[in-house]
Amino acid sequence: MSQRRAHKRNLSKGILDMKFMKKSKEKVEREQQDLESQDLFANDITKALKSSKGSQFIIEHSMVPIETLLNGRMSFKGMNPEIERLMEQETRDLQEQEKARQRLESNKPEISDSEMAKHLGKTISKKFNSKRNGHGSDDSEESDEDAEPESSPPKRGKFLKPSDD
Amino acid sequence: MIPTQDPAYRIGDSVLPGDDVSAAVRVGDVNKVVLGPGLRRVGSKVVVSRAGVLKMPKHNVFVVDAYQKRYIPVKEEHVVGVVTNASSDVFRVDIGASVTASLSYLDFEHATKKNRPNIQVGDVVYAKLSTAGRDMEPELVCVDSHGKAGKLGKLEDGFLITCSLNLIRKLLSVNCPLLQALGQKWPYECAFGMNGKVWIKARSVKETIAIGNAIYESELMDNNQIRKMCTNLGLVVDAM
Repeated sequence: MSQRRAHKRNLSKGILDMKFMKKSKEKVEREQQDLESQDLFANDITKALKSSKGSQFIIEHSMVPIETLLNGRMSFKGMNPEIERLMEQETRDLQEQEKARQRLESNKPEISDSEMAKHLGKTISKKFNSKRNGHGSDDSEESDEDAEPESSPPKRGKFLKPSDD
Repeated sequence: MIPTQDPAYRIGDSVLPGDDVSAAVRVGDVNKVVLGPGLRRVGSKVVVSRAGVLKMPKHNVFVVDAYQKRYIPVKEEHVVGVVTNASSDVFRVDIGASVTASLSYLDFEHATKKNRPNIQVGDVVYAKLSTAGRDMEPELVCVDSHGKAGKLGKLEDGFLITCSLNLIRKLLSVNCPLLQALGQKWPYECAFGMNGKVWIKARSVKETIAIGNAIYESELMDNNQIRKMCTNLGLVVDAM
């Protein structure tokens, strides 16, 4: 078991502590904990237990996910603005998750075909227009990048600093 | 009493520890079944581990529900606890379980070895259980995996009451109107721990008592009764 673990590449702590690695960090931590608990109970897990049909059961110790309970920390009417901000954020996240789930269930793509056609029609036509006009116009900023990389960019405008968020 | 050969338990039946409910749980013959608190897998059988009523809160999710006041720590649950002892590196926190939980002073936001959080004996904290095993002392943290406190941490001022675990679950369910209705009436802040401890902070003693009583009273009420009680309570307290 330990051999397999040694082969697995792990992300360094510095990378995991970065802001955008939140999801990955949680995942890595969960895996780590699973491994630990496996080691802890390795002696108790018999072969019969592993091979039995038990995999059809999922054990859940907490009632929180079963009854989809809310977080117990709340504030109302501006008693604690910080908590109210977090509550709002939580409900927004929940709504987004619900929307995403519905979209997944309805099997509809996030961007409909007509929307895509409309958007692409605009950008592509812009590209052809700019070609026809010669390499004079600089106003095709984004459409140039995701189309044909081999065509050399017309004139480099001023460097635009990407917004960091 | 001689036990019957195959007592066919169904959803809604009272069950006792040791009862075999495999038949009831396998009713849908689907491949995945969730066993909630109160049910245990023994070999290929599903056995009850606490006395109560067998329930199915969601499709293919089974639990044994009972009136409960003693908290059994579960990992990742949020609890409200009282600090009972502050030693050199850990705080002892009473969360109403069989043993006190430990809370390291490093598990607070912005806490370092030099910068200890300002927590005294008797303070109330809202924390998350990081470990909870049958044979181990539960451990609490007041930060998430990124060192952010979020909603966790020390609860300043306020008032602490204790109620049953069932009431906590009832009030925190999405369709319970009590907390929203009280929130429309008065500004207040609360922390419900899954361990049955509730911390309330309102503007005045009068409002705190009113909210505390409303929480206690709603234990045996349905949603309509709760709504009615909240309007009545608002009128009575305002008239005082």
